[in-house]
Amino acid sequence: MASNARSASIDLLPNVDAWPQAQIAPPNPFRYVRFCLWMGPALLILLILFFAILGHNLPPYSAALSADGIAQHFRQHTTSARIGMIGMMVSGVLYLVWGMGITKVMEAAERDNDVLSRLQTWGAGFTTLVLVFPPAFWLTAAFRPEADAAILMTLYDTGWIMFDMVFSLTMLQVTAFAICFLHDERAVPLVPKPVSWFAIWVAVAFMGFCFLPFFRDGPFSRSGFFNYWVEFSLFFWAMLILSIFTLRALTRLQKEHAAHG
Amino acid sequence: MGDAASHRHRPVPGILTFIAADTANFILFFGYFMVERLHQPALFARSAAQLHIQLGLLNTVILITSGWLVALAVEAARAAEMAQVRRRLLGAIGLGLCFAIVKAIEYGVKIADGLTPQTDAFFTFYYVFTGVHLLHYAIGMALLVATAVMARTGRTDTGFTGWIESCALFWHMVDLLWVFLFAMLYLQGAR
Repeated sequence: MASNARSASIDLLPNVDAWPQAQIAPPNPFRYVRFCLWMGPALLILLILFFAILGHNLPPYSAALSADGIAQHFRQHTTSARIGMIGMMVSGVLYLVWGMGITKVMEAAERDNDVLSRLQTWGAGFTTLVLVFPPAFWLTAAFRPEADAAILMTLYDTGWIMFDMVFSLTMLQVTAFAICFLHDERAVPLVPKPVSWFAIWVAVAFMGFCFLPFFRDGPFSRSGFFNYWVEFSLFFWAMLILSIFTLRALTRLQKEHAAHG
Repeated sequence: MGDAASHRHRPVPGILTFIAADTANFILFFGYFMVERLHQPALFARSAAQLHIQLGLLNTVILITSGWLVALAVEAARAAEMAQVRRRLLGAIGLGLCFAIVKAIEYGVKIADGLTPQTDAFFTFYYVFTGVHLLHYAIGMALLVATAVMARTGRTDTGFTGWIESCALFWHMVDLLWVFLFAMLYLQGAR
């Protein structure tokens, strides 16, 4: 009797083996990866809008400007500075999402272990903090524009020094990326070698930020020709170039996966 | 004939991308410097005259000789003569160390004389350009040391030849940049 009841209850369960094969989707190791990689260009656009245009950082105010001059910025552009910094703090997390997309492409090129892709993830994660914390200082200044001019200037300077001087975190990310793809032993590498060398050059060029604390004006100050238009802009160029080539590598990986299962 | 053909079809070392980008950056540096110099020729000439041409020339000779030894090490690597590779690399590294010593003496003297990056526009460029060059020099020295260590293991594979060629290209770039810096910073003060 008991045995009959058990057999009846088992019969109520669907027979998994009888399911049509098409209903069980095969595992897709690249699911979400393209979305992650597209977050790089998306963030690039958001940063241009929030950080550069609304935040009036194209270029930033000169470090040679008086406290009153910098305070004037927060008093004149209070609302746009607030919107810009809020937008930057909210969208900054996309950098980590982008970094995770790169990690998944790197894993396909790694042979021995995952040290480099992990370092790249951590580098991207810490760089995300760089995109989130400095705008908090600028937002604080925009939140109380009536505060003493010297305090507003200090907040502005602190944000910029934090933003520029923690370049080693992004150096870690792009260097790990470059070394990984330079060791890719495929006949046609997933990411062309010149792109990896470009990434290494970006990492070395970031060292130029070391001059920032020594100059308040001139080409090596935070708003100067070399510091801002050459070195600082490399961060954005690197985002663009790495996005293009990792997206291309992903397309190739997906085709290989479809062909070989 | 066969050798010539295979040499022609050898892949271009990827490090040339780095060298091209870096050289472009230095061309920007030099262009900016020249424009600034046109605006204040008297100040630039007066400040340049305070540099020690002899020390600059000594460093030029040191780097060129070191570059020559690295080129010889590449030749030895192609011939799979690893003992020669090691000897020549050690010579290049030894000379390279002299460059840093001379540079440290020069910086020390300048700072003791009160000539700092804040002194004037010329010395801003002097410290920044030679500082950036020093960073490249340090990377180059690290690469030479790593190559000498690799050569100790007696490896003669084609991967090593490619590696030492890339390191040599980088080291020659360090030489070349110094030659331009020497002419631009030191020689303009010569009378």
